[in-house]
Amino acid sequence: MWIQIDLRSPLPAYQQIKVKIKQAILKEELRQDQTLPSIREMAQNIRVNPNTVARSYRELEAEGVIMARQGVGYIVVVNPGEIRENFLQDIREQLMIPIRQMKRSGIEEEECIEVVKKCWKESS
Amino acid sequence: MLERKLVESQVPLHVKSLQKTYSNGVNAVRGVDLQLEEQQVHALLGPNGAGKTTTIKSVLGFIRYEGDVKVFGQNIDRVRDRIAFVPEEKQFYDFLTPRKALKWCQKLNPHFDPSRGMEFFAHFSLPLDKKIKSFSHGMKTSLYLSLTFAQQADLYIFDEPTWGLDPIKRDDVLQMVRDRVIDGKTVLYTSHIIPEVQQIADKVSIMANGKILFTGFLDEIKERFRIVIVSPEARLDLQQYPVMAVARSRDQVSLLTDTDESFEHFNRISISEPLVPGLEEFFQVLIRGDRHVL
Repeated sequence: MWIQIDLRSPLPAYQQIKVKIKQAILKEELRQDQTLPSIREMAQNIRVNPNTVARSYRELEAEGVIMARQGVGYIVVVNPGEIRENFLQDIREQLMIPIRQMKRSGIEEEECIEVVKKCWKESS
Repeated sequence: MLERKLVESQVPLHVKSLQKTYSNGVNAVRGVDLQLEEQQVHALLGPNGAGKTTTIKSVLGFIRYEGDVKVFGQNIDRVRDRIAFVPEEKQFYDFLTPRKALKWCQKLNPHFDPSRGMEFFAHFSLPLDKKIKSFSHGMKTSLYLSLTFAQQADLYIFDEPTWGLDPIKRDDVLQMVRDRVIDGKTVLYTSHIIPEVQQIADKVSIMANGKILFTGFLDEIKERFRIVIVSPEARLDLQQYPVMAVARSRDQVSLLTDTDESFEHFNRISISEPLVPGLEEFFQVLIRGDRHVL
């Protein structure tokens, strides 16, 4: 499993790993009951420290997305439908920064939505 | 009681109230506390002259100091064979060649793996039978690192390990450092190069003028802190604001503050949205700042 980590992003590295794993579940690249790479493998593959991967896995487990199974490793325990709300919640948090910025600059809700629509169209 | 002892003996490094004044009166380290956790890379980041090397020399028992240092819960001399160290000054006997240096290490250190040493030599393309006298600084660094990575240790201490290396080799070395923690080892790493620390550290201690100003996880910096930029013309009574450090430059004043909740305070005076600081910005404000209450 390949995850690109951007160290310059405002989003902490462990959060980036979490979001990417949820994304993979949504896109069905990772399916229910499938095993995640071990902490060690993941750390090696994506070039972050094992401690960071361990934190992502720990939090995903607490959120009920994955589960540690003795002798197997971490397995996915949710399906795309179940992860959707959780994923959107993460995105909402990330959107707060630009939205606050717009609000503070006196931009109205309708204009903000126009911006979102425009971005949606432009994104490939 | 037994349980507690066991836990203490697992702490790779515990430094308490470390102080060092050199005979010329220089106060190089002025009360440093530091604790390393297993399987983490802990970086000591600071400008030149901050006291990083003095801290490391004290930890290794190379100089006399005041304070308390425990390595795996013990005096350093009882656990020296569990530690590998790369000093800032990479000194060798000029007449040695990489091949001979490898043999010496093998004789001197029972935890040394010569075949791994050879692998690292090959990786760094070091000429096996050429005298070290003719080596560039980067080659000496590569040689020292090869010999260190070939040593089986539990705690690796690197003092500015990438000095003189080109960017590709530097990146390789960082990956080799990471491989140590993936293998369950612990690393203490000093550097004044911020992108390097950003790439390799779990935790960072920022050091200046012999003191540690901040210790925390890299991710924690992005979560706990924000930087608010205000115009230098703004009249600030800082007592009113929850500010941890203030850095002034010609065209702006940067305020370091924590968490989203306090931003209301700054609405009136800030000229931009609060920034999520990267290590670079955080370091700059802390080092240049004139108030530290972290």
